[in-house]
Amino acid sequence: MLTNRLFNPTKQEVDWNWHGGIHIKIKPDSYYDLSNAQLIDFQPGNPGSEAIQQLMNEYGIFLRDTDKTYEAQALECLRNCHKAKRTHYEEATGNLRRSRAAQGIAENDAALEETFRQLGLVALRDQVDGLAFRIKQFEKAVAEQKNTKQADQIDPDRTLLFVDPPKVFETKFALSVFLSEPENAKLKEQYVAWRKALDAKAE
Amino acid sequence: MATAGEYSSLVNEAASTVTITRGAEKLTLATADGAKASEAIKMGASCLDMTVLPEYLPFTPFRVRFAADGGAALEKEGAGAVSFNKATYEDLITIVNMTIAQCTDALRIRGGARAGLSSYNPPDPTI
Repeated sequence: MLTNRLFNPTKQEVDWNWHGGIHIKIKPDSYYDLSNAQLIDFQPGNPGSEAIQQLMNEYGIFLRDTDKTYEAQALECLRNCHKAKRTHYEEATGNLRRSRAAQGIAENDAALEETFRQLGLVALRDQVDGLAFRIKQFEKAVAEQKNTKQADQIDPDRTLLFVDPPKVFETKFALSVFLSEPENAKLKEQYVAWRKALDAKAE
Repeated sequence: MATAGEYSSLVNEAASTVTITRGAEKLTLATADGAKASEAIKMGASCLDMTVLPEYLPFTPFRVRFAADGGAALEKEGAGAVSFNKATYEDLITIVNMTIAQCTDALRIRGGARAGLSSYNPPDPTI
């Protein structure tokens, strides 16, 4: 389930000029809780959500989905951010080198590095390297998780698979109340038979 | 065309449908049914380790049909089916959500500028 919590798994603070003077600021390794009005724009399926996703990739932030592990989501987010920033860095430095070559400026690594620094590209390169380091950490964590668990298990005590769509009740008691309704007698029979078969297999 | 893992998808904006393919399997669904499809896949995947399962889970207009090999398939009558298992179900959900978002973006159902997008300007990463 998608939550309203926007996470920043990077080392950089995010300052997103959201709308109408509202800034979304998220400190490194921290989060920001979106308001209900803001959340609508982040939900998949809404017009514009693809472009918002693109911006989130560039900032390196993601909306927490409780159906996935934090590590898996953070890894995907870091990879997208790394790709966006690396592309930016490579294009900027490539353009600079080409323009210098076109002007007939002799190649001088120290001078070029100083130009990169003045343009903020050295800081950008540090960010790209920092992201690559974090990606490696998260890759290890996700690989370990994949060996143990990939999907949540349903709880047969509070899940009814025979209705359309299947229902997951908050508690076992809530399921028993639903099944005790006279119009659900047939469903109760199906559920009881299924639980018997399940318990028999488990023994 | 978008891809996620073994799945790929094609958007038909005119019909407001998306077609998900995995090898020879193909499933066409309306964008309006995307959330239902994601929910069905998620529930189907969470049932896969159970020792006793019903023949299928009803998720009108879809069904999640369980296979003997431990996998499952999301199917829709007259629109095809696409299979998934514990290892691939997240890719299938990703491709469904991603493609439907693309399609609805293209259709601009609600229209107009949206909060956060009224002046789309990628951030300058050097600042």
